[in-house]
Amino acid sequence: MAYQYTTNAQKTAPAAAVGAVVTPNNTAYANSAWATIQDPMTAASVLTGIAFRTTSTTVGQYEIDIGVGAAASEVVIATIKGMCYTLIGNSANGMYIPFAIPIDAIPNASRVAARLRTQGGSVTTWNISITYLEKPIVGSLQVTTHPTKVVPSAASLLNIQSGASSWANGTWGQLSASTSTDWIIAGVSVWSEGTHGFQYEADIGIGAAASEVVIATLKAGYCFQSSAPFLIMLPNPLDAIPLGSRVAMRVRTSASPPFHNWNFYVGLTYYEGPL
Amino acid sequence: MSLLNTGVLKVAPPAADMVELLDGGNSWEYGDWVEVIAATSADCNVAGICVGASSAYSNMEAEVEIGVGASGEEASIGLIRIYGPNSGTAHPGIYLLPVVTDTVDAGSRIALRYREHDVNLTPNVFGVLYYEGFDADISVPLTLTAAPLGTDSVSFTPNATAWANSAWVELSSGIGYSSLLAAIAPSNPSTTCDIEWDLGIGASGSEVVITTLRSAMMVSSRSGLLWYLNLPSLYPIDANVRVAARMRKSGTATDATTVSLLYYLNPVVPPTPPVPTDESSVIRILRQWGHFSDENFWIFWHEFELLMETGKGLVTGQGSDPVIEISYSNDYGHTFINAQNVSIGKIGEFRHRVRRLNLGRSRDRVWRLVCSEPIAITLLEATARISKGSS
Repeated sequence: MAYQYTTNAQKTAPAAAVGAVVTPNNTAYANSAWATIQDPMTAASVLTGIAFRTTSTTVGQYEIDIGVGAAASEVVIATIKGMCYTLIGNSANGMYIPFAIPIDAIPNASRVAARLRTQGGSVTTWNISITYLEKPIVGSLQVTTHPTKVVPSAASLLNIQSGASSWANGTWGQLSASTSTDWIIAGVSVWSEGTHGFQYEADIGIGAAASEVVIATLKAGYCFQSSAPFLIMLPNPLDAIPLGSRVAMRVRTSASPPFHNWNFYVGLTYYEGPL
Repeated sequence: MSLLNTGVLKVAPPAADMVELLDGGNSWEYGDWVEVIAATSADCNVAGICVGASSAYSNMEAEVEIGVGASGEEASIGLIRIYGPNSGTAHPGIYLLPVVTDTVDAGSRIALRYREHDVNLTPNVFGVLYYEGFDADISVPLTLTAAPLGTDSVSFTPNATAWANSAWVELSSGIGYSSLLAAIAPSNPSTTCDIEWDLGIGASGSEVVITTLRSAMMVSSRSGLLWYLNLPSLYPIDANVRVAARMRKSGTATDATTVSLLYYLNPVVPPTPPVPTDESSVIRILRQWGHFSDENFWIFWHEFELLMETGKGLVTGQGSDPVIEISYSNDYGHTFINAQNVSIGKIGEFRHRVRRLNLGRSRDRVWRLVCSEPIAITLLEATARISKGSS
């Protein structure tokens, strides 16, 4: 038996205040301005998670960057990617994305900020905040200096379709033709316009086209499509994508028509390895 | 110790509809166990569950238990407690355990059962996510459980002033065993807001914040997914420590809010003795063996290993880096020499080996152990690797 632990108290920023207000760029996947979350940090720290929300009522794929540094000199230390499907009214409660392996890249006295990219078409503000642990870490917690990255990057989630019958595989959709480093999967984004009784499985595979080997499968049942954040973080990041790999995903569904050949939108949040 | 894993994440039932589970027909009464995997094809570690709501729910508090064993003989290996405000706007449910279960042997049957506050006449559907070839250096053969357990979560009223703390509410008055705090399963306000939760330990009125969690809520009507909110990592607490929570948020909504605690219980480890406040209260234990000799020939001692429960150090202070003194006598027990303090594992270092190497020779040897750490010491046996001389 072995486990990781820490007795450090997790902290929040902004503390006991609303999250930093970020106004999206109206242009699809163009960066917003950076918004300060805390300046300065009072100790060197590791980033443990990101909380966020919006009152936008437009369909919203999002990418959130957390950066460290003075204004105009921010360095991105983490990016996450998902979906806030809010077409019929924004709605979600679990708007917090934890990092299984916290990111050790926040120096003492530094400024921490956030920026946003969306599908565009809305300038309704978002609120973004973080959780962190001040160093030194007491315990056995694994941390990394590597930032999380996302694929597709600064673009919409990859559109793939389920198979033509119940539980029939859809066609593989390529996320990367060849990874430039090892990829360690931290989280998986899967979104579709499902409804009650709709179940899916999503495979992540590596290998040449038609020779993909499945390295992970997720399965879930939908209740309704209007929600967020559509990003499942893995407590144990998956270190199974070597440098030079082709990475793809496919989906299959349970339901009877019209959910065959159904549109899904997928992506990954990952660390570049080795850590 | 690494969290990274190269094993394959799989689902059950694969490429098929999830299994249907009903509760037991009364509030917080379990329904029947339902088989998800008849026989695992390889050793595996359960990673979590997946859920789909077949029917509408509102303010659903539920517990899903994972069991291993033949029908009628299922043994729980974990429980997930979740809160869901409104099925009308919930997203797909994947609930991964904070730490995977210990290894489930190949050929094992895995089943689920479920209960909730309400009586649900329409079954919900569930599946299991598991790893084959899981190789991260992490697992706990402990049971993830909840407080309160099998009853409604603790309810309280948020403070009407933005970012002012609610009153503390007790989640656990103290458990008779050491435990590892993992997550909370909270409900949420009915308006868009940012939320912070403090977890505290200590007597009522004297709570000390041990960690703070943060989340956010979008839109009215308590929409959203079934969920729970993880701590950044497991947080160990000693036996009989009271745990409480309080909440603050933006906005002024005062809807009744509920919260429960998810934690790993360590029932095999006896309660940790209280930490001594001065040297006079330290208990010193001594264990000494009989004489090891073989026809009065030389015995060469290559290795001595003590098999005992390890990784039971305290969180802080004396006992947080516990040691045991190992010495021996080569003169029939008159004088003990070469004493050395050997670590018996900080908290969580359950794989720690307690051993010494290259221990000289003797014609007669008596081994002695001395420990004065304020933790429970459980000795199992000792082994030695030796060779016999020719004279």
